[in-house]
Parts: sequence; C-alpha cells; structure tokens
Amino acid sequence: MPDALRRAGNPLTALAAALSLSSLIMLAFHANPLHALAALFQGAFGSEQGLAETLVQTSALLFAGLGVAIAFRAGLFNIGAEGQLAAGALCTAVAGAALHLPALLEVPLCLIAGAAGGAVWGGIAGFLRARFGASEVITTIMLNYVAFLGSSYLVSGPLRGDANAPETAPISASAVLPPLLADTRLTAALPIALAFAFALAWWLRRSVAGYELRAVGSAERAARYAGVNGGRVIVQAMALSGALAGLAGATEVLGLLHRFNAGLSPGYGFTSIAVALLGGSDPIGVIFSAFFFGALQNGALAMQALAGVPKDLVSVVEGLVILFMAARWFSHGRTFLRRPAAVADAP
Amino acid sequence: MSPWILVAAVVKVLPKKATPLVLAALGGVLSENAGIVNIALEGIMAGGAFAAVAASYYTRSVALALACALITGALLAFILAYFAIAQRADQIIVGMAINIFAIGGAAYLVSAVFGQPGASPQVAGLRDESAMTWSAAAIVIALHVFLYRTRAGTHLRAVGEEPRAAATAGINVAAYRYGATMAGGALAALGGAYLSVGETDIYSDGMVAGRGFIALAAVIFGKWTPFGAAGACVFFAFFSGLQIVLQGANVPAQLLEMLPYLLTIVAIAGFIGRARPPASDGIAYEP
Amino acid sequence: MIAGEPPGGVVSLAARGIIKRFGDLVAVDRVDFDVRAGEVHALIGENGAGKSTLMSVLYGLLQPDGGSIALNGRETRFSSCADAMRAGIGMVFQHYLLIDRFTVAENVLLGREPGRAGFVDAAAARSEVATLAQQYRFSLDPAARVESLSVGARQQVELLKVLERNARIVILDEPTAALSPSEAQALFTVVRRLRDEDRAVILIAHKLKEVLALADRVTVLRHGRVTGTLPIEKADANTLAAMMVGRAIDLDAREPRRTSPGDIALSVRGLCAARDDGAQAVRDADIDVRAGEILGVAGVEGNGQLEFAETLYGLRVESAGSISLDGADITAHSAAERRAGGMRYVPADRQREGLVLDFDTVENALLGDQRRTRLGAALNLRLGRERADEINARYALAGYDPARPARAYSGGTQQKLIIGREMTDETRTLICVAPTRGIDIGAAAIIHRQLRALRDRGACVVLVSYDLDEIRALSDRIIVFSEGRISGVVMPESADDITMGNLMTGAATNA
Repeated sequence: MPDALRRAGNPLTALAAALSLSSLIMLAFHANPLHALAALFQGAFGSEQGLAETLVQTSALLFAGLGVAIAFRAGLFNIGAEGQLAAGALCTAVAGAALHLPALLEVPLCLIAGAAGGAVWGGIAGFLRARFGASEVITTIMLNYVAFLGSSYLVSGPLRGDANAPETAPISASAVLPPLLADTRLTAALPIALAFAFALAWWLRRSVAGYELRAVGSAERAARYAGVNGGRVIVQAMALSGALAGLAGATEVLGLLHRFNAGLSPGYGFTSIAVALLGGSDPIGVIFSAFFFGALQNGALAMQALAGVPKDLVSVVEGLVILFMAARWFSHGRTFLRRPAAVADAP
Repeated sequence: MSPWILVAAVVKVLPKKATPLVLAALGGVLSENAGIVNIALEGIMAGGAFAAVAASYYTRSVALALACALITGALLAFILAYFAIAQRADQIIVGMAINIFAIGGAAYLVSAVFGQPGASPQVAGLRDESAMTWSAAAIVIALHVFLYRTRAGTHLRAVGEEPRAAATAGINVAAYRYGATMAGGALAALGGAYLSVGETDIYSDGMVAGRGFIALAAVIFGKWTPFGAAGACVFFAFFSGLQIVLQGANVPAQLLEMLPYLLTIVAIAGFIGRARPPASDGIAYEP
Repeated sequence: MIAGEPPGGVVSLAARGIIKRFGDLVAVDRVDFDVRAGEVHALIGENGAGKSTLMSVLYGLLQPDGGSIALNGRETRFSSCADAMRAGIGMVFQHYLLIDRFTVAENVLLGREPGRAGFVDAAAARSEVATLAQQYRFSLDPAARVESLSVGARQQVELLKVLERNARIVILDEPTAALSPSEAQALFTVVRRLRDEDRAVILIAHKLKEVLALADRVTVLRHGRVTGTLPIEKADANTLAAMMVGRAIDLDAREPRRTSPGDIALSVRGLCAARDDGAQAVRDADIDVRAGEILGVAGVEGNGQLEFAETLYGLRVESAGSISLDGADITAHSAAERRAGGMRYVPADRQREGLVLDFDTVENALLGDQRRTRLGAALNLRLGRERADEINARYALAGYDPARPARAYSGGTQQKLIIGREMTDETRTLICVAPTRGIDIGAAAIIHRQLRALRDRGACVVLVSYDLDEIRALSDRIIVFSEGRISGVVMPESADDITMGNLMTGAATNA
C-alpha cells in the first residue's frame, strides 16, 4: 500500500503544480480562478446530467488512454490516437449502417469493426517502425492528418449517406447503444471500457505476452536474448494501441452520434497522451486519470459559460501536467517512460 | 495542362510554402546538433505566429511583431531546454507537452485577448514577405558555416556527439545546449510568424497544420545538416504547392492535401537509409 | 614517507589522507599515494577497491571529503578536470572519450583549435597533429575519422590528446584492456618513452603481468585502503594477488581433471555470420566440441567471437553453414528451441542483455523460458519463484528479495543471478561470453569453479573470453579467432603469449 501511495503522490504533485500555474494565468487575465474552479466543478459533478456527461467523456478517454499507455509500456510513443479513433469510428459507422442483425450480434460486430479499423491504422505505424526504423512519433502524427483528410473525403463522396451533410448513413437501430441513464448520453461504453482496463491490467502483469511487451519496452536487447521478436511485438503493440483508440471511436458512433461525420473527433488524441502519462501508463492508474480529464473537459464548457474562462485553458492544464510528470522531481523511478534502445535512433 | 506549366506554377508558390518549413527545420537542426531533440517545433511555430499577431495588434509595428515572435520562441524552447538539461526529463514527452500547452495556450489567448474564439482580427503584416525568404536562405548558409567552420560550431557539435569528451575538453555542455535550443526555438517561431504576419495577417487556430512535424521530418531526411534539411523542406514544399496548383482540377481536395503528409511518411520510412543523428541526441547528460 | 621510494626523482603529484564517501560507503579511506617524475607507479586492486574513485579525485572529477593533494610540493585543489588539465595532468580513460564522427585532428585539438576570429584553421590543426604523431611514431592520419580506426589507434589518439597539452603527469586507466598482445607491446614502448621524458606515469591495471613488466613501484588497494606499496623488485604475481584479496589465490593454476570428454556434442560446419551493419563477422567456422569439454575461444575483442557465440545460441541468423547438437541439425532452430534442448547463454553485457533491470528477481529468473514454462496464457510465476530461491541458495545473492527489481542489485550479484539462471542441472550446452569481466577475484573464482563443475557433469561449454589467463586456466582446448576466421587450435599447455599473439593478430595460423 505505501508503495502505491508513493507512486500516486507523484501525479498528485504534478497536478497541483499544473493547477496552480493555470490559476496564475487566469489571474493575469482578470479571471477569478476560484470562480472558474467552482464553475468547473459545477459542470462536471453538480448535477446528474453533468456527472453522466463527465462519465461519457471518461469512457472515450479511458479507451484512448489505455491505448497510449500500452504503447508506452512497449517503448513506443503513439501520438496517433486521434487518427486511429477516426478510422475506428468510420469502420463502425459503415458496419452499423450495412448490417441489420439482432443487437446481440450487431453491437459486438460493430465494435470489432471499430477495433479493427483502429488496429490497422496503428499497425501501419508499428510496421513502419519495426521494418524501417521509422520513428512512430512522426508517422503517427502524419497518419492523423491522413485519417482526417481521408475520412473527410470518403464521407463527402463514396461513403456519403442520403443526408445533405458529409456523413455516413445512420446505423441500424439494433446497433445503437442505449443510454444507461434516462436523458443522458451515458451508455454501456463505460462498463466496457472499465472491463478492458481490468483485463489489460491482468494481461500486462501476468500474461506471457504482456511480459514480452514490457521486456521490449524496457530492455530491448534482453528481450531479444529472451527469444522475443521485437519487431513483431512492436507491430502488435501498435495494433493493440490503435484498436483501443478505435474502440473509443466505435463507442462514440454507436452510443452518441449514430453515424460518422467529418467533424467527429473531439480532440481526444492529445488529451489521451496526458491521460496515459498522468496514470503512469498503468491501466488502473489510467482509469483515475481518465476520470480526472473527463471531468476537466466536461467542466470546461461550464467554466466558459459561467465564469467566462475560455475552455482552451484545459489544454494548458494538460500540457503543464505532462510537463511536470516528465520532470525528474515528480517521477522517481518511473520506468515505462524510458526511451528504448531504438532500432534507429531518430526521435 | 502541360507538365511544365504545372511545374512553373508550383515553383512560383514554392518560396511561400518552403520558407516557414525551412526556418523551423533550421531551428531543429541547431538544437539536435547540440543533442536536444525538439519535437515542439509545431507548438513553437504556433506560439511565434500568435505572438507576432498580438504584438502587431498592439504596436502596429511589424518589426516589433517579429521580435516578439523571436522572444516567444526562445522562451518556449527554454522550457524544453530546462526540463531536458536540468531535470533530465524525457525530451519527447517534454516536447509534446509544449506542443499541447502552446497550441492550447494560443487558442486560449485568442479568446482572452481578442475576445473572439477561433481567429484574431486582421493586423498589420509584412508587405513583402520575400524578404523573409531571402533571410531564410541566408541563414541556411550562415548556419552551415557556423557549424562546420567555426570553433563555437565545432564545440556545439561535440556537445551533441559526446558531451563527456566535450566536458573534459573544457567545453560548457549545458551552456551550448541551452543556447542552441533557444536559438533554434527563435528560428522556429520566426517560421510561425511568417505564416501569420507574413502571409495571412491573422492568427487562426490550427493554422500551423502540422508544418512543425514536417520540419522535424525534414531534419531527419536532411541528415541533421542545414543544407540537407533545407533541401528536404523544398522537396516537401513542392508537393504542398502541387496541392494548391491542382485545386480545381478533377482531383478531390482532401487527397491532394494529404500529399505532404504521405510523402513525409514515405521519406521517413524508406529513402533516408539508417541515417545517424548526433550520437548523444536525446540522451540526458549526467555530469 | 611512503615505503618503497626509489632514490631521486621529484615528487610530481602527492595525495595524502584522501577520503571519499558516497553516502555510507567509504570508497577511499585515508589513502596516501604519490608519483615521481620519471617513474611508472602502478595502482592495482579488485573492482570496487577504489582505484577509479581515487583517480577521479586526482583528476578533479570528484572532490575529496578529506585529505590533501600537492602538485610539485605545493598544495592545490582541483575543482574540475579542466583545472587538473591546466595543472598538467592528463588522463586516458578506459572507455575512450572520442567523437567517432570527428577526425583525429578535431579530437586531439578539441577546445583548442587553431584559427582566427572564431574560425577554425583545419589545415593548421592537421599539420600540428601530424607532427606530434610522428614524434611518437604513431601512424595516424590526422584527417581520418575516429570511427574508422582500430582500438589500438584510438588509444593513440587519446594519448595524443594528453601529449598535445604536454601533460607532465599521465594517468592510464586499464590501457591494455582491449589491445592485442602486439598492440600492448607498442603501448609499453610509449609508456617507457614517457618515463624517459621525465613525466610521471600512473598506471591503473589489474593484469599483474603487465604491472610487473612496466612499473617501477606498485601500490595495492583493497576496500578503499592501501594494503601496501612495493618497489617492483620486491613484487611478484602471487604476493600482489594476495595483497589484493587478502588471501593467496592462484587463478592461473590449472586444476587436474577428474573426468574425461565424451562424444562430440556440438558440431559447427562452414558457419558464416554478419554483424549488424552487414559486414562479415564470422567466416567459415568449423569446430567440434565434446560433451564434458570446455572450449576456450580466444581473440582480440571484435574479431568475430561474439557473433560466433550469438549465432551458436540463435541470437544471430547465420548466412551460411550448419550447427548440430547431438547429431541433430539445429541450424534453423530459434533461441527458444535451443533452450528447450538444454542450451544456455551467458551474455557479454549482463545489464542490458542478460537481465531486464525493471523486472523483479522472479521475472528475471524466467527470462528466456517465459514462453516454454507458461501456464496457458499466464506466466508461471510459481516456477520463477522456485528458481530464484534455488539460485539464491546456490550462489548467495546479496540482498536477495524476490520482489526486488534487478536494478537494485550490485553488478556482481546481477552476474550471479544470470549465471545461476543459466548454469542449472538442465544445462547441457553452455555458451558464455566474458563471464568474469568486471567481477572481483573472489566472485570470479566461484564462477570458475561452477564452470568446471558443469563440465564435469558432462555439459559442453564454449567459453569466449578476452582474458587469456582465464582461457588458459579453464579450457581443455583453445581456438583463436582472427578477423572472423579460426586461425588456430591450441592446447592450453602450448598457449604461451607469443603463440597466442601470433594467432590473434593473424600473423600465423595453424588451423
């Protein structure tokens, strides 16, 4: 227990530092930080609706954050959650519109389609890294842009539904994830995400595949010695990471939008990096971290409406959190953020 | 359209497309040769773009606007340098943090300062941005001479290759790393300023659109040398220009817009070979 | 007065009562050490005895917690190595501080490049370095990049750095570690010349034979204290070894065998393998190893032995040739499959290859076998715990705790963990690379004993080592690698320095 508490202390200090600095920025612009914080709280937790919406944001961030965390554990920087999410969402929307099966079959199949779309998108970057040593930092960012532009093109043309807007046809009724709570957007996405988090926690610590992934991420040469095929693990890790981000997109489609349109991505991509880091790249930690950022994102809208503080301040908080988490002060003995002995030493 | 007319049209647009990339890439070349990986070029460009617009809004002086951009770039880069050198933090994560912080911060400031979200009002800009293009070309040459022919440049490269060897030779590793990173940040911010007060005379959210990362790819593609990186930028800019010129032809806009990004992937994956960065690039120095 | 002073000679550098602590550990405990102009004073001791720490203090890299340093009779303080260098002390480190991509001239003159107005005059730099190199008969091209130079040539560049600044006091840290016998001889000539030039030379070494050949005085360190300083006439290998460990140890003694080799177990034909950069590392290796035999693989580091070992174990894919074990062709087998057949590997780089430092002891005990021993999709942590306990029982790991990450153990304990994991009753074939490198004499003796025991149990052992004495002491037969080929097969009794030196440098072959 003391060990877990000590490990939790580091993110808490980073958080405190980030929030203090952000308060200073608010003060500089004649905003009242306490007022803003109150509004944020009010928006995030103040009502049943608010809390439900916070949980909605949490589930998407949890999926994407888990993806980034898994990649970090394998020594990879997946900055492409945004694009993988879009790829997954698009595949889910297409599957959902095309298939008309009973819900018990339809929903899992649509989710699988989303996971597959994200897995392919992530796997491309993994393959490029494993085979050519191409830095996944750059390829995943580039693939983000390709995903946006590509999906935008597809829904304006070949995949366009009947509507006048650039979006796909609505998904079948049986594909829809019904709300868990009336008048909210909260769906089964949250319990599904939580289930994945617990499964991944077990998988990382107790399974052979998880052991091998951690070995590659932490000591590439020792992993080679242990008979692990580093290239294969890299591709698999990126695919898994992408699949999780794809599921974020899939649940977005099935639960909220019921279709894919060009403006789908709410910017989870970069936030999911903050989520993974604040959670220490550990699946259980990521649960708490996703909840925190979900509250932050949701509350930010209230903060803008009620306290007049532009919601982009949340990005500033995120950036600061990552910055302080990266600093040696705040992370003693952090291990999964170590740069691996890279195939090619490009960033 | 004859291919030659096409090429001519692209060449005409080339300086506009290449200049911001070259400036940012040169910033990357400087810091990486001293051993600091800077993936925050994107955020620094955004910071520089915004700072220039804000300064121009308040002072109506383009010269001051550019100066503000330089200072902003140096400050943002200082954050990277500080956490990388004094705290020995992972440089990629710090770089990512700065990107998020700077881009989000600029968006926040657009609302807070100008009162309207999304974009600033129009400000006084550069009348003739080709001056910046010529300056960029001059900086390429100057940086090459600096790195390979002067004592300071040689020491800087030594710091990036083998800081221990440099330290035992009496060279101040930290000073060179701070200096190179901050100067590099200033250059990148200048590239961002070109996009705002140079080209469009406003700042809008997301206007950098990934150029900072393309510049980073150009650094790698160009093997961490000034001429190489500049050449790579021109190469990328060509395809960016192609996209503009072909608009209106029967090719969907989005597929054309994809070209620079796809090309970057191809370049990174295949045709640079296993180029070696400075030996201590990205590795914290423990004296 | 320090015992063993030769008559005459000005004391150049004198350290009195030096104390250096790291937390609770007293690394250097009231050490007196001095060196005179025109003398070679050797400093020897086991790993962890304090040699490097003492030298770091003398060179200004570390500040002492007590004691004083006097330069030419005057008390001084070095607050940085730049200070020490200005005072005329030059140090050649064991791990060279050279910039691979720069030229010889750029490396030698780093920080002091000739030129005007901030520009570098490359031509002047080159000619300056060329003149200096000629003076010492180094055949170095000032315009050559250091990355293209051999280890011996790189050391010459390091020496030039020191000589260019006209260091009157030269410290050499384990200078012959990676040199062939002939390169070492060339170095000895240079050291004698430095002495004749009236410089003071401090030689840190652990190869007793070199110390006896070169030094005028020897000081022995043990656990941070000086156990004695002798003039060379009064020193011999056994005395010095006893002073280093506190008891008589004769590592060179060959123990008579009680068992004899069995049938051929490992058979290699026409093996070729490339290095990571594509260059050919192993060319047409042909050798048989019997069960119950230790095959020593000698050679200067970098001549293909490492790649040979990796290919035998399956870490490297061969480009041609075959390997068979007990008659069965295992060429296409992966490392995991070879492990299943009883082959084990002790890697060269224990910290980065043999262990995952972030994993705990139990997880490391499973490294290599994690897939083979799994329970469905899960790790067999119970088996891992049993193994870790067993290794601890056999080798006494200092600070053993199953949940402790490997990072927290000392280097020697880490090596014991790896060796314990690889040398079990299941081991039928062992490939090991430099198993006692960087290990103190006491632990090395234990490892040697275990290797002999393994051999006596009928296992076949391939021992790659860069320490000729270790090879001679342990091997039943010796092969020598030179430029990727097996240049000779030698019996240990005939493996004298001259024969081995010739085979290692390719000057002779008897394959």
